[in-house]
Amino acid sequence: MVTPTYIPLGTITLASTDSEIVFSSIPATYRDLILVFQGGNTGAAANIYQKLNSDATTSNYSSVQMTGTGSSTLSSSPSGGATWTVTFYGYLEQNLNANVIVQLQDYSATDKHKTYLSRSNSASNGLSAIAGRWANTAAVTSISWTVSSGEFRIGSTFSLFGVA
Amino acid sequence: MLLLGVLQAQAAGGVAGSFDLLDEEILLSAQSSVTFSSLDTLAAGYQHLQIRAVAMTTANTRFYMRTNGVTSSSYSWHRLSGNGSGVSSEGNASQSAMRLMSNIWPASSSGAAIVIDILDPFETTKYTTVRALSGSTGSANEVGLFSGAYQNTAAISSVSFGLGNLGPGETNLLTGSRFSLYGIKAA
Repeated sequence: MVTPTYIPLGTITLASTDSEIVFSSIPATYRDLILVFQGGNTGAAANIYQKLNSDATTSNYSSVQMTGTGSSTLSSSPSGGATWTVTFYGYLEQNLNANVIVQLQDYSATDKHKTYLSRSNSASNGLSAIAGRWANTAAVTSISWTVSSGEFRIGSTFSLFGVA
Repeated sequence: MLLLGVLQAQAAGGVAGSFDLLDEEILLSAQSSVTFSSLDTLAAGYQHLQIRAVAMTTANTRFYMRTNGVTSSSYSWHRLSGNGSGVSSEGNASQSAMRLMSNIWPASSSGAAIVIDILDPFETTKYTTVRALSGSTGSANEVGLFSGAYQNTAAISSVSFGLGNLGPGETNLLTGSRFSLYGIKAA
């Protein structure tokens, strides 16, 4: 059963700054989603926050993250937020030199919580790896990204892929 | 806010390409391991392999991979991982399996997410090397970068995965665990 996959579902390239990017009406056609970002923001060094299905329930998001900054290593497990961060010293900054790849596993399954893996890199600040869980068994139909300072910068790109 | 709706037509628009799903196993009952075999035919024509998995368990355990059914001391691996309070590193040679996650203990109804790249598995002039990104949150938290090698130049004909503290097969993978095998073509 050879099935061609890693299918592009949508790409956004910002022609103007924007505070929030949303991929909506995501079909339950695939096993995994991969979201690829390259860009920056207009404010201070910032994190990207990710929300699924517009769910703002603070107890539903948990994660563990680690980073290397060039001079130290850190790990933490944020809790109590209504989103995940997909960056951790892989910060966005006022250029287009940050990149992030998020893998959302079994996003269309309805019998398990959703887990994600993120790798982010910042030319100036460091790099990170993050694992997270959305404590909800609903299929994921939308993903929103916001930034903790300023807005996403012009020229930032967001690409969503589906993997069967 | 910029909103992009994903059309069903776009989602169905797959074109035969360089990244293909070759096989998949979703567990309908608990079992000790998952194996993809006959890779010489199943993955013929591909340069690299990728495994994307969600490993379900209710135990505090580790995730391992073996190749070609080999259980002797033919593997080495390294990890760089964070557990929420610190970052640590470890490496071991002459192992009976490749460890690709050190501390799985996800919450109920949850699993560990794992993406494994197996590089040049069919080349017979070099050892087969592996890299993985894995993690989960629950009773234990871990995110990790792993590398491994099967210290043998034989082509890979099978890969198997299992849980345990000392090696694979000690702890069952639970119902709902999912393993997908992909082939990546060279130019």
